Amino acid sequence: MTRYTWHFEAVWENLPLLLQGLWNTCLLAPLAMAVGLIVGLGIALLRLSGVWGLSALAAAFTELFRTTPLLVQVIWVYTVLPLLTGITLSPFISGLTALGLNVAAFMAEIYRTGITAIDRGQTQSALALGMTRAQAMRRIVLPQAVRRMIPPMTAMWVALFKDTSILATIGVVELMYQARVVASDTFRPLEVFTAVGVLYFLLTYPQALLGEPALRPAESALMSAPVLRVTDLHKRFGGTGSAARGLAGGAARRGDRAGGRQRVRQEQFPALPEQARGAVERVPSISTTSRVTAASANLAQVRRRMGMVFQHLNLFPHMTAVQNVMEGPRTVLGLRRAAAHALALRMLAKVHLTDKAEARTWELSGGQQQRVAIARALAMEPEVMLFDEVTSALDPELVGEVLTVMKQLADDGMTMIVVTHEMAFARRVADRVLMLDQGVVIEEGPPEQIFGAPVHERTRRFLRRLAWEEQAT
Amino acid sequence: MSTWDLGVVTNNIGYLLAGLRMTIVLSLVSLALGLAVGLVIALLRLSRWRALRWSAGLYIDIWRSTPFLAQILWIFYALPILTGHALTAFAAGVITLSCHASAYLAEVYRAGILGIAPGQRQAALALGMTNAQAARRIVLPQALKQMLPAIGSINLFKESALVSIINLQELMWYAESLSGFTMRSVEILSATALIYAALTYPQALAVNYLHRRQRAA
Repeated sequence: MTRYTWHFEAVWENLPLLLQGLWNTCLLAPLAMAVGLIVGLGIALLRLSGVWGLSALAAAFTELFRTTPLLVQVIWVYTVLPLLTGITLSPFISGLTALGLNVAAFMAEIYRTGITAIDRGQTQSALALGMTRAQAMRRIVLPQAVRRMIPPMTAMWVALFKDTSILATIGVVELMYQARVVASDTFRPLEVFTAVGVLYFLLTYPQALLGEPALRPAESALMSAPVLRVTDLHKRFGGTGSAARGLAGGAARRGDRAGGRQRVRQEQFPALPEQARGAVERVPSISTTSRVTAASANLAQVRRRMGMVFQHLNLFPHMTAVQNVMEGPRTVLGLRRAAAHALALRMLAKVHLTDKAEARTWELSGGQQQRVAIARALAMEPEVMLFDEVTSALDPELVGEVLTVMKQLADDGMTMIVVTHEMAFARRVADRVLMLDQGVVIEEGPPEQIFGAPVHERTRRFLRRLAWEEQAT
Repeated sequence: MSTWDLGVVTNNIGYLLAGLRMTIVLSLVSLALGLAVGLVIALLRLSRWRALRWSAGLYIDIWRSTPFLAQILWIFYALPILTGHALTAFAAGVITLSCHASAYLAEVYRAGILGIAPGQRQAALALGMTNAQAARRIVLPQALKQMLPAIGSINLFKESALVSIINLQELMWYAESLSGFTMRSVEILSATALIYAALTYPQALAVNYLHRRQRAA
């Protein structure tokens, strides 16, 4: 690295020149956009007209402009068009024409996909109301299509704003042209090009932000990585706010897992795996000594010894049923393919799905998928299985087959923590029932007590409603 | 009205093909680099550390919010002043094109990764996989399929024409030189446009096909 002294005077002293260029840039972009919006709509309508010659012509126009570099188009319009037509255009008008037509080609596609994306049924129901085609287009299709078109159009506008710089090559006096003039006059390309780059950035960036708010919420959902936070599996849970405190207390009294099967039922508890990362650290009542740290290796270690089945199935759609079950033993436990396959088949047999081993996930019913998910968790030979509302997303007639498998697991002596609304199941299978309300354990005890002689008013109300519902159905 | 003289194109086809070769090499090398760098940037952008996320975001925004022409001029004329090392036009072209592409690709990757239902990652982590294993075995294979059309729509053949401004002898540079030299810009530039279209159109068709297939699935 050589020491370099910046000389931004080169920029300040020539500011009027640069501002003049900026002015033309800011003039060109909206003008070209206007041309593109209007011409593009015409081309899109021609393309959709269904008249063969017109559609083909419109298609040829869009494809030609979309598959050649803008630079070629600009130079072609500037140098070739006058030779062909005999009309000489100023650089500004040539540049505007080329840029406008280029934008029109992209706009035509945006219009077209926007319009065709609206369900055919929408047009049909509008026509069925007695609207004309034009009315259906204007009142029903376009208003919906426009909403879809806005993000790609914003992106187009941003690209266009930057692309105006290409017109510098044919001598349009816009920002980039002036930048090159000033840079070569002052022999200060570093300062001039840097300043102009920053200027473009400051002008473009805010516009680019308008186009893409859609990504941001989804991203934050991933950042708050949805992970169950358990500090000590046999004693207490971690979770959000009061839910954690209640559960930590309630579960801690349960003592050791060695006692055999323990099950928790809870109501209005936020789905276990959807808690925000870091929630445990915010709960002061949980001891720091046994806290699971954020280190992913540590978490993976803990998870290896627990099985988890989700409400939303979460099978891996790019794998068959048996591959889903093999995935954990192969990747995490490092089993060889043959061993993992044999293990997976044993697990599938446990959930009565041997015949579906080679099925793709979408070929399976919800109940079958959920059983594959149970087999997948079992294949890791977990010390404890977590079930999070595993029957809630299923059709009522499919609930039974999943519950049967779970009952069978319980009879085999598997330790299970089950979050469920299936009261009959909880009553029959659970050793211990926790009643949760607003994230706090309000009542805890053996099922006979919870269902037979509930102490808490909230539990009684819940059971009364349940009885009423059962009567009603 | 002048008459068309296609002889000027056939007589100089050797130059145009030499330029075409450079255009293809430049674009493909830059695309390969851009694909790799873009993935790294995307993963940084999704990192758990704020500083990394922020830096990757800045990188993406800078390359996406400035004109390509400003970027190539800056890399070729301004960067060597800072580093003290002159760059060949080819090196400057590759650096600019690949960084430019990587910024767009990073966003494509990110959208693809975020498009996979969070449950998939949860389920992988619940099996005891590490973050890296979950990404490699579960999320990326699914995301890649969805990203394919968007990746395919990144077209460096067209973009690379602007590298002619720093006198890299690719297709556009030869086209402009020949137009001036032969005074036959109508034929030369029209032919050049067709060559670019022929280069780009198959890719556009492939992207359309991928889009259709994705919609059908």
